[in-house]
Amino acid sequence: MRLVRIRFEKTGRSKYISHLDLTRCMSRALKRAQIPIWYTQGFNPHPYMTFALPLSLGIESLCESMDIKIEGEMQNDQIEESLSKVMPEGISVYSVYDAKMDARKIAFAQYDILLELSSGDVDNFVYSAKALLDCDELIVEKLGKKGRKKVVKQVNLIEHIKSQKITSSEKQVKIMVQLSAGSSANINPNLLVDVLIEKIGVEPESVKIIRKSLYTESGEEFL
Amino acid sequence: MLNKQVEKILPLVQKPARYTGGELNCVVKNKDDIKLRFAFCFPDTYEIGMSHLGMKILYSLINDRKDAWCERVFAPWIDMEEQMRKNDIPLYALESGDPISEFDIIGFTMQYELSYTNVLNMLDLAKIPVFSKDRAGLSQIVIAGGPCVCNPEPLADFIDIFLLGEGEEITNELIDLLIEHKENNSTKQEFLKDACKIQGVYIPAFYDVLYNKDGTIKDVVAKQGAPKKVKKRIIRNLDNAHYPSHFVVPFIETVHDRAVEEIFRGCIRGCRFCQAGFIYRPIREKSAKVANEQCKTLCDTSGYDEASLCSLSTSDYTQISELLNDMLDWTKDEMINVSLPSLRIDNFSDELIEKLKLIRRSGLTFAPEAGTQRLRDAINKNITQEEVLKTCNKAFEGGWTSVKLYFMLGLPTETMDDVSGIASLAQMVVDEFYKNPNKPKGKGVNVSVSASSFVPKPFTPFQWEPQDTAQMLIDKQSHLQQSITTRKIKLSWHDVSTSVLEGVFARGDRKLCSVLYTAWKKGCKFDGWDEHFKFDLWQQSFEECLVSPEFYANRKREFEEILPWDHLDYGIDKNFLIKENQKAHSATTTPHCRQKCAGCGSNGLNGGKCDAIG
Repeated sequence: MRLVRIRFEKTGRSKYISHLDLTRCMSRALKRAQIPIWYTQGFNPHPYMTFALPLSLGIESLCESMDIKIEGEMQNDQIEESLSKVMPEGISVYSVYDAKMDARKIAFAQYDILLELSSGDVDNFVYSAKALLDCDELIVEKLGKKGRKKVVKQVNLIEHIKSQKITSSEKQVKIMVQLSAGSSANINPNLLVDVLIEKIGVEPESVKIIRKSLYTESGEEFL
Repeated sequence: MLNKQVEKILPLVQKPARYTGGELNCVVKNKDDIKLRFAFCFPDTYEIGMSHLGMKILYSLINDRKDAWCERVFAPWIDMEEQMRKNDIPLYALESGDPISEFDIIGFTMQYELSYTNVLNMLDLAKIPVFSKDRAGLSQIVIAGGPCVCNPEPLADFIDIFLLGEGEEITNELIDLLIEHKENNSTKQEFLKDACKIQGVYIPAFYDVLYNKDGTIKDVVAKQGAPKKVKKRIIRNLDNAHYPSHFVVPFIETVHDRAVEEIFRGCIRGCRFCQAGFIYRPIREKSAKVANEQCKTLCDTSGYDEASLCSLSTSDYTQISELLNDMLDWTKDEMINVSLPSLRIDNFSDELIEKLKLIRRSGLTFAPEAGTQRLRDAINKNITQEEVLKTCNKAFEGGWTSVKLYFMLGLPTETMDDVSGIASLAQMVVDEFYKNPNKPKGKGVNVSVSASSFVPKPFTPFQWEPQDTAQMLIDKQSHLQQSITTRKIKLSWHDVSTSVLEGVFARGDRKLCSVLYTAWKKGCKFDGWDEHFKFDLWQQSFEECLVSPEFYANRKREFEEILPWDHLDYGIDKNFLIKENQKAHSATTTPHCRQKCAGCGSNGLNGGKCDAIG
């Protein structure tokens, strides 16, 4: 039995598939592709699957990661080929390999945030966003857990931004940002978008968020 | 494809994946390569519509044609509708994202009377005129099929064409005809006049309904060359009929999210309350071999881990043993669960229960329907108390500890003794569990009793019967509640006012069109959903339109009365229904079709052939 890591993109319409729905969708894809996957041994066996860092509804990603356990002989390139053929629109497998790192090592995620604005608002937005991100503090409220209870926590986003860069074109602002990710501190990029929109007071025409890559504490790419 | 406008509102609504399309196996074609666009509309939510087998069959059948493209459309939930209206986004089809007003055929499947307002609402949301007379061109032809169109009169003002019976052949014939007329630049009238020559096509505008002073029907007059009686369509041989090799696999969880294999149509039982048991006759079985192969293909192409057999009464399938053997061969290895809905109590054999043990153990559901033997005889539900108890005992020995029992309140001839009989029967099931020495150790028993309200339906022996009034049903519900004395029995029942409305529309005539329109205008939609059912608005609508709901629901009809659906022929002989009605009143049963042919006449639709009698 091998622990195999499947890396895939989730783009376009498939960003509306929730994490729970994605699990079901993947287990069906594995069945269609006839991957000899290991089932949990219980009263109600189900395919073993774990996902590195669940993606929020509405966010696209170029770096999703799912682990499965393989029984039997199937090679990784063969798994990649079979799976690629049966994926629904928007979900595409780009790499399959034996898991190298523990998913708990993930510490940061790189996002591209694309904001479409009316051309008159672009400069103002870039200027204000840069100013806000240069401060020492950008406090947002985040729903967290305290034991079983849900509580609202105050979080200083600046402490969770490892790097950021803002560029713009005629009608678009692009924020490239590396945010804390993983089990200890996970920052949803929507928190950043919402607070920027609120503070700057400009409502974009559209917001598109793409997760580009995952990194460990030491800055290595997650593999 | 999603347009920007839609993308903008999706983050604001619940379950956006209902509105995105792009699911596995959905069919996308090039608009320029096709001659006809078909919007298959299900007038309820995505989760319900995507569970419907008929839609899957017709979707795949139409898309098998090179010249047509069928897309799916569901009723947007309240939050989505609000956003769509606010942002001026017309109702669109999931595959292309195009507004359905651009389509040639808008087809609705009518599964439930309480979804009628959703039909009007969806047309309106699509910016298509709701009244048939206001749609002049040779596109936006609004058609409807499904079980409810066996009495389509309450929808007569809105729908251009009703398709009676099974859709596999007639849908293609209608598409062919429309393509031909489009190429000839015909008028809608010319097309409709040709369409009514196809067997199973009912065009309500071609029939004048005349009424007596008392509001009953005096006569129905056919014009424009339309047939005096429209006969429903059936598929003669299920093995050769189209069956999908691919299901569209939804991302979000739907009601029935699994591979479904239909094993037969029709039913041998003849339970007198059951419309499905009559309107889907005659009985036609699919062979086990074909069913097994089709089911395997579906599982392969979908990746589903559950396969379900579909029919009105699974255990009446003559090849059930063979089919389950064949299926268990591959489903076991592929970790696929087989589920068997619609099992009957009386032929739940030891062999079947052994096989079920290999399958996943879910709850067991049985439908005695009535609490006393006399009433079960009256409704021709041919099962005895002994059979109910025997089967429950078998189930307990097989390890089951919870049993669901379905009953109906308000059946014709029902007395309060019959109602308390439901509680006694459930109590006997509980007692049986504790008497059984082989019951599962260390567990209690759970008996769930579900009591729905009976609604008399067209083409059944009870089509002449008065429906219980809301007050009568409420009295019976509380009597039943008081008759249950143990916590081992859990009782649930249905809201009576929805049953009353269902009863009105099930046996209604064209005078209800104005009520339907008025209620929809007042804001009625999703009437089948308790949280959206606005009975007060319905009552106002009846009053404003000077239509009495009691006339349709609670009035006893004489056998001589012309019923609103009498000009539609579902193959069932009216004299047979009268005889069955009379037998009900004397609590006399009729043997099922394999024991003795009761002469319902439906084999006439199938060239005299019926699988029940060989």
